[in-house]
Amino acid sequence: MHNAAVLSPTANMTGSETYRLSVLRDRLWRAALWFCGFIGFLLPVSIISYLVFEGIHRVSWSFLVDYPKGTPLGTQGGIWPAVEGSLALASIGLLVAFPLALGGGLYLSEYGRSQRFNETVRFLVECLAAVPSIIYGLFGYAFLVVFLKFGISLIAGGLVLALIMFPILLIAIQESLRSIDDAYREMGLSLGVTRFYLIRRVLLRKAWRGIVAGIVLAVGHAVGSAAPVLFTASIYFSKGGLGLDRPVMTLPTHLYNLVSEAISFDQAFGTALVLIAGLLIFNASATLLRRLGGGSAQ
Amino acid sequence: MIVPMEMTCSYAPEGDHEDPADGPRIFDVRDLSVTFNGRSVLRGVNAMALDRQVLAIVGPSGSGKSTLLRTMNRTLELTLDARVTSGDIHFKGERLYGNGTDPRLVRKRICMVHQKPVAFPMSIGENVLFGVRFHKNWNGRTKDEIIRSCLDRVGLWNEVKDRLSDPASRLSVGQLQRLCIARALANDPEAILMDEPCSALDPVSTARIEELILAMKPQLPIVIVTHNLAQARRISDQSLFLYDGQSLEQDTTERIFTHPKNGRVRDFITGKVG
Ligand SMILES: Nc1ncnc2c1ncn2[C@@H]1O[C@H](COP(=O)(O)OP(=O)(O)OP(=O)(O)O)[C@@H](O)[C@H]1O
Ligand SMILES: [Mg+2]
Repeated sequence: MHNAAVLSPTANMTGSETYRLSVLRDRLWRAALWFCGFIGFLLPVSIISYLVFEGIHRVSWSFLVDYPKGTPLGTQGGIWPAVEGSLALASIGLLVAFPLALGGGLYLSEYGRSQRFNETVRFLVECLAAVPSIIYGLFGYAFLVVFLKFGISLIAGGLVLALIMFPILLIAIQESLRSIDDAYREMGLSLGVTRFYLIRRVLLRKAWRGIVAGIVLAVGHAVGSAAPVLFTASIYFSKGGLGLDRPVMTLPTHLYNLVSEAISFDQAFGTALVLIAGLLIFNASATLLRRLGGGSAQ
Repeated sequence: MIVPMEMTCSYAPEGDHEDPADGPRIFDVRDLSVTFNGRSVLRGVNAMALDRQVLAIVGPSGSGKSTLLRTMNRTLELTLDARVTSGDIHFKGERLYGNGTDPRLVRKRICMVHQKPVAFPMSIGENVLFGVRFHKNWNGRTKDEIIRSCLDRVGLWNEVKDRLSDPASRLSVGQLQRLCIARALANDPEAILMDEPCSALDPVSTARIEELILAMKPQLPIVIVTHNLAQARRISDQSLFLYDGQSLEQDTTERIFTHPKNGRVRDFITGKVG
């Protein structure tokens, strides 16, 4: 055994010094990367546990379905008008933004034959996605609320959210279409069908997962931020009931008011928990939808 | 067994043509030139395919075989920057590149089978009906009849008849390639183009595709690009040799492989180049 090692020092089964060093380095890398991955697990779990710990005793059925009460307003009662307002804003935003983003993404990925036009549009859309949401809020206030005389209203806030969702959705849709192997297009079109038929029957099904992921991202981003609706849609207190031309309460602005006016931290944590739980439920159902769509398609 | 009865019966014996070159020309490629981004890829190619025959296109890699094939059903123009700069192709006497020719109708009538088979994200049955649902060429048949007859023609019916609603992506590559051929046949094409249809397949699947080609030949002219010279010899009646974007020689497969006139062709066939 020892002799063999002497005869051919690099070919034995224990490995040379440098070999063992590189194995060790590999292990260290692995540990470091594992740690980074673990942070990705730890962070959301600890934040959510903290919110649950602080907020769970506030959350009840009546907290969800009541309007705010007490003096100062919000110390008692529930948050229904804010839940309703956020749901309505998100729905309007998605209803307006999704068809436009789908059309834009399809055009850029499937129809646009001018490289320069595609790249320019894509660059501008990426810029749009990078604009801070408070700027959208300001724009919405100046243009929609004041100039177009929409007033602080559900429709003004919904349109601002649509503006925020649009670039996120468009990029997600374009990317998921672009990741489809060109063989599908070549094969489909070589059977003499139109591009529209190919898109409808093949490409959208293949891109389905990416599109749903984009919707989750866009809705989460839009619904969670207070800035875009702060001066365009939201009101301090409402008893519920929706109207396109009327302002609404929203979860993030309600949360902002509760904390910034030091009304009730208890109620604030309850509100935060409801917001997070809502987004998580939305996320989970989207994932389920994605599985279902993917399952029948793959 | 792949060859259905009615096909073997309608097979026309070779002796029908005195000289194959005088038979009816299905494809007639005349002086065809193609550029990619201004770079010349096909230069004055001449070729023809005869009725009830298989034409094999052979030649070194990059010689323009796929490009030529894709001009034959107007799928070349799906690639940006590709242009047919001169010449034309006559298909049964009609100009493929004439004014007012709708490329989609050309593609419906002349189908293409690709190197890499692709399953569309739908059931096996729906994959077969992909073109039919668009072109509406039901011709009084129900969808089940079309699925059955097309899968039968490619010898896939018995293998998949119990799982027609399964996703097509669960098929093996060899089965998938036959599904792609069934999908093309469902269009009721008048010719079939194949670009290295066996290069992703194992020998058994390859043999099945070759049998299938021979079985389809009596109804459909077939043009096949192949890297495999032995395969070209086995299944084709005519062979065209492409070299650097030019058609060096076309003749019966027999003559091309035994007495090629062109020195380059001889070198390629005897394995000196390529
Ligand atoms: N999309 C494209 N853009 C630019 N050039 C291309 C494109 N496709 C093919 N070419 C060029 O055209 C020439 C012919 O290509 P083609 O694919 O027709 O060759 P081929 O004979 O089929 O080769 P192979 O046997 O490797 O498949 C090659 O030089 C290739 O580089
Ligand atoms: Mg090729």
